[in-house]
Amino acid sequence: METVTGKQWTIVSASTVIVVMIAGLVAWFSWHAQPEIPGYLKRMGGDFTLESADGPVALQAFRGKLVLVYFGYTHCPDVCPMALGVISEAMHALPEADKERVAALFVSLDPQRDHPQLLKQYAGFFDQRIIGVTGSKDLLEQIAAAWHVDYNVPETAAGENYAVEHSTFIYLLNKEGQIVELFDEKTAPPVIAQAMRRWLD
Amino acid sequence: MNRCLIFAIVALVLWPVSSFAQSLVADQAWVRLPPPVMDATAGYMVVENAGDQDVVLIAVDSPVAEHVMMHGMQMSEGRMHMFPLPEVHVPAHASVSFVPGGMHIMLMGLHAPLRAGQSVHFEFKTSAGELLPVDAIVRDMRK
Repeated sequence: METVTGKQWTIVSASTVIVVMIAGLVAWFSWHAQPEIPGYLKRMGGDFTLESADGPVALQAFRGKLVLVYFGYTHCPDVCPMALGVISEAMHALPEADKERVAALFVSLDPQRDHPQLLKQYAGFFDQRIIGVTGSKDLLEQIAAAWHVDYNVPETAAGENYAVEHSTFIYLLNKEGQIVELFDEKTAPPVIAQAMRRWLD
Repeated sequence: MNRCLIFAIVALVLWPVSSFAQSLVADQAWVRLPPPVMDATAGYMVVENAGDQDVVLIAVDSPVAEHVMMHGMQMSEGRMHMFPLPEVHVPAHASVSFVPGGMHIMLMGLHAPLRAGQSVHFEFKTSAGELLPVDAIVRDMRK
């Protein structure tokens, strides 16, 4: 039977300590690391301030919370109600403790027909936590460009029925206000809830 | 004799106008409950054609709204486009679906706010002049 020398013991214990440290670091990082933000999302978004029925709403004011943002308009009978329903369900699917840590904005691209008071009632129908906002045509155009929202409001007199064409993304913003994931009205609400849990950790 | 002939002609002329589309059946018909502030919403259903002849739907109407039309939806260049469909073909022994996020019945200018559970009557018209009555139920999709 071989005897274990003091030198061998030193090597064994040193290696053990290193292995345990590496394992610890890996565990710590995988536990705390946020998911990666895809490159193309890093070039999108940015802060804005728009009008709600209860005064101006600045995106900066939601730092520390996750925010779901959807661009649409109230006279959209099909896709917008689907998207707002999905947003509401996803927020409801969160554990009670996380519900205060998320917010949602419905940005109307149709300020000609969607005044803030109407937006409040419209968004509130789906969920009282969804804040309806809009702004001037020029401001909305700037925001839409920065957020890569492609839309078109036809040049028609208010009061007439016209359809606004628009992209249908539901944006998820992290606690720092960066766009981190995209969904749409066909995404299953639990998928969005799961993503929010990931970014809340 | 003459009177009989006239009656026959009148009956023949009127027959297609008043007849119902026997081969068509509508199923799973519902209307989305809109927020009370909105006077527009969408209706959905499956229209089945059990017959041997193709059928073309050329119009749809409902007493609950001022404008009722078949709408198509298409995603192109990242935008969702919504457009009126002048006709919808229902091939023999096949069906077409009006579904959320797809082709739907657009109701614009609701005469009164809808209530969940309420029945909404629709009537399709075919190119052969036949009618397809459909009763849909108003559904509140909020969870």
